[in-house]
This record gives sequence, C-alpha cells and structure tokens, in this order.
Amino acid sequence: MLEVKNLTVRYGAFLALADVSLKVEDGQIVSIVGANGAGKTTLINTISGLITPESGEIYLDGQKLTGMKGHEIARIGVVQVPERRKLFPEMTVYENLLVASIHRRAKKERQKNLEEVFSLFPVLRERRDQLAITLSGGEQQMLAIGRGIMALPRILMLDEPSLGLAPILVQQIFQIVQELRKRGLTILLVEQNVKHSLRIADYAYVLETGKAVLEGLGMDVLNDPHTVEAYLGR
Amino acid sequence: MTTALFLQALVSGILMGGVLALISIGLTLIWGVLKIINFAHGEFLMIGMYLVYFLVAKMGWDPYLTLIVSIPALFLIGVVIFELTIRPILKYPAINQIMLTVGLSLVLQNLALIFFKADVLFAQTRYNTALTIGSVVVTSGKLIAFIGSILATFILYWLLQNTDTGRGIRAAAQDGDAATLMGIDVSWAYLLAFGIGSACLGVAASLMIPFYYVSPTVGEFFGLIAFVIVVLGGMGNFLGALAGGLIIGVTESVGAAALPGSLSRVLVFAVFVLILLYRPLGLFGGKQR
Ligand SMILES: Nc1ncnc2c1ncn2[C@@H]1O[C@H](COP(=O)(O)OP(=O)(O)O)[C@@H](O)[C@H]1O
Ligand SMILES: [Mg+2]
Repeated sequence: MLEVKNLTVRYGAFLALADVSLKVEDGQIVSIVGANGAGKTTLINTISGLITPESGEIYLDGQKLTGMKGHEIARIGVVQVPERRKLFPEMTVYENLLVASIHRRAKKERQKNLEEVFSLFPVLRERRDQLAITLSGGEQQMLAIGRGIMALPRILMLDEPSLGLAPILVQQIFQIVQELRKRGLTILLVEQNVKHSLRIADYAYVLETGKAVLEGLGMDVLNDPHTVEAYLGR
Repeated sequence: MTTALFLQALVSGILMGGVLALISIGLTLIWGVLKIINFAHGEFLMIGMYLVYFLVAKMGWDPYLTLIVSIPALFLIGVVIFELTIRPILKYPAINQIMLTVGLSLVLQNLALIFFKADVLFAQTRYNTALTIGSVVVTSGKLIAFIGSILATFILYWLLQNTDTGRGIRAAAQDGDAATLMGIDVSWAYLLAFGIGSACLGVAASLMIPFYYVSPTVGEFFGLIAFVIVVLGGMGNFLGALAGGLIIGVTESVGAAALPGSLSRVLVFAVFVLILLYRPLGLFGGKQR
C-alpha cells in the first residue's frame, strides 16, 4: 500500500501542493483527476523523488520513501510512466525496454517481463529495432508503459497516458490499464480525462490548485455534482 | 609537393588522426553525457604522458605495459577532479563551467611547470624502428598507436552499446529524469562517463610516449584540437569524432608538408570553419550515437 501523508510542495514561493493525503491499496486502480496545473505531475514526481517536499511523508508498505533518492524509489518498485512519455529517443524500442531493467531486482525478471510486454503490445515486438522517436504516438505510449513494466513495479504510476492520443487510442490505453490491474499490478493513474479515468477507478481523488477537494469510490466521484459541473461540462 | 611526399604526409596524418580521434572521443563522451566541455582535457593527457614517461624512461617499463597503470590512473584522476570541482557546478550556467575547466587547465599546467620544469622530455623506446611500405616510412610506435587507438575506440563504442552499464550511461545522457524513474543512478552515470572519458587519455598517453615528447604545455594543442574535432564531428557523436579525428590528422599533416612553419595549424582551423559553414551542427550533427 502506498500512503501519502500531508504532502506540501512549493516551487519557490508558489504553493503547488497543500497538505495532500491519499492512499493506494494493493491491487486497486486509484485515479487522481484535475485540470491542467492542478498539481498532478507535481504529486507524482514528489512520490518518485524527483521533487523534495516542504513537508509530509510518503510510505510504501510502511517503508518511508521521502528522503530516498529517485533511483532508489524506482528500484524498490515505485515506478512512474511519465507525462509525455519521456522515452530515450536515440535508443531502439528494445534498448528502451532493456535499460529499465538494469537494476538487480528487475534484471532477474528481465526475460519474463520482456515476454509479458511483447504479449501485451505485439506491435513493440515488430518495431523492436526501430528508434523510439520513429514510433507513432500510440506506440510510444505503449513503449512507455512497457518500459515501466520492465522496471518491475509494485505500483505503477501513470501520468496522463492518454494525453495527445486519438480517441480510439485513448480507449485502448484505458483498457490496457485495466488489463494491467487484472495481471496483479497496483495502479496510480493521473489524468485530465476525468470521465474515462473515474470509470475504471476503484477509488479517486479530485485535485484542484494543489488541494484534494474530493475523494471517494470512482463511481461516486464521477456522479458527484461538483465533478459533473466542473469537469463533465453541462 | 611530390607524390611520395604527399603519400608520406597522408599516412602520417591518418596514423596521428587515429590517436586524435581517441582523445576526442573521451571529450565527446563527457559532452554527450554531462553537456560539459572539459577544457582541461588536454592537461589530463599531459599528466598521463608524464606518468607514462616516468614509468618508461625512469623505471624501464615497456610503454604498452604502462596501460595497466595509465588507464586506472586517469580514470581516478578524472573521477576525483569531477567530484571535487565539476559536480558542484553542474547546475550552473555554461560560462561558469567554462571558467572552471579553463582555470583547471591553467592550474594543472603551472603545477606541471613547478614539478617537472619546462624541459621537453622524450622517452627512448624500441618502437622507433622504421617500417617501409613502398615509399612511405612509418615507425612501429606510430603504427601501434593508430591500431591501438582505433581498437580502443571500437571497444568503448561496443561497451556503450551492448552492456547494461553502457545503456545506463546513454539513458542518463538522453533523459536524466526518465533514467532516474527507471532506477538508474544518474549521478553515478555522470561519474562513470567522466572517468571513462578521462581514461581514454590514459590509453592515448601510453600509445603516444614512444613518438611524442612531453612538456607542461603539451596538452594545450591536444585539448584545443580535440575540441575542434568534437565540434566538427557533431557534439557528443562518437563516429563523428572518429571521422573528425582522421580529417584533422590528415589536414594537419599534409598542411605541414606543403606549407611553411606553423601555417598547417591555420589550415586546420580553416577546414574547421569551412566544414561548419556548410554543416553547422558538424559532420554527423544532430545525431547522438
Ligand atoms: N518547475 C516548476 N517551477 C515552478 N512552477 C511549476 C513547476 N512545475 C510546475 N509548476 C506549477 O505548479 C502547478 C502545478 O503543475 P503540475 O504539477 O505540472 O500540474 P498538472 O500536472 O496537474 O498539470 C502549475 O501552476 C505549474 O505552473
Ligand atoms: Mg501534468
């Protein structure tokens, strides 16, 4: 279980996250929705150790993540699929996958995970030796998720995986997220696509200008009048 | 210029170009990963050459045996200098970094002047035997230096492409945050890259001692020429540095045979400017492989 307790983050004087708390239970999909600039990426990057919070703590199964280095957090299994994918552009598809499983824990499972990624995304096997930048947007997102799987996550955090994709691919990405959960992964999903991500969420939080203003079961948050008015446009 | 003279200059240029390529590959690797130009690169080479000189001239080592000392020594020097001086300013503007490494080069040069005096030293070895191929004469030392440099370059390239450590270094170079998110220790990758880039100079020093003199300022020329080659090849580009090394080596050597005095150095920069005029990002500009 991932636990975020009273997290406050500032960029200089700008308050980006104000006293945010949340929990992700094992085997669940937890969605965090919010408009552009709400602080979603800040939250996920703080969990990943790329940003140092002003106060608050983060735990994975009781182990304190705050204070650990970013690569150590990834190595124990808190893995992020970042916004805009951030693939290694001058590496092939295959190299992008390999490079995520360099650390010892993931390396042991490398062959098995590689097979799993190729079975989830057969197109990546076809494109194995192409440079990552030559892939289409949808394929790049698949590679980004595949790369995350190679790092052997105990919890996989996805930052706006549907961003910039055609509607049909958006559908597909959300199906993949559900498939990953079926295969036993715990998922923290960060999205601006409120409707889709709340629909598949077991539990959800709504983030507004750095504050968690609403939380509950995915369906409840989806049907909440505030959500309907602020995000589902009517 | 006669054909024989031209051929001689061409072959000498290619042989020296291989060594220049190896030196430049160290610099281009450091740039590719850290986005820093180490203007003390030539001075690291100078330190390596003194080290090898003493092992060869004073302790009677075979120059190629010194590789087992020069490689780890230069790796270590690189790593220590990186941790003490360069790591702390990695986040600062480029101008600060330039000032630091230029300052470092001056300090190292002057330390060498104090410790080793301004004398020009040359180690006598048994690798000065002349080999004749047609009308062209080369010494065995230069031939070995060329082969060794090309070999070292390809070994390094292969390691970077095909080992996990190499992949980790390349990932850190291409996107540090993404690499961190995949469990790669980026500061370790930086350290390794700087160490390996410096270790190239250990190899170059051992290979050069049989035919090149040592002095406190010997690094000036090599540092500058390596910078030229790195820019020429496309910053951070391995194969570009290899091609650039050979081009500059030949230009310098053929120029020296055809032009009076040190005009060949002018020719080197003329070629440099000309190529950049037509390919502003360098020969292999844009790509980082
Ligand atoms: N590096 C930064 N420096 C200063 N402000 C930032 C930085 N990154 C993000 N912000 C600001 O913090 C707020 C939250 O940003 P972000 O976490 O990226 O939001 P989201 O991912 O929800 O779109 C925004 O107002 C953004 O402008
Ligand atoms: Mg964001």
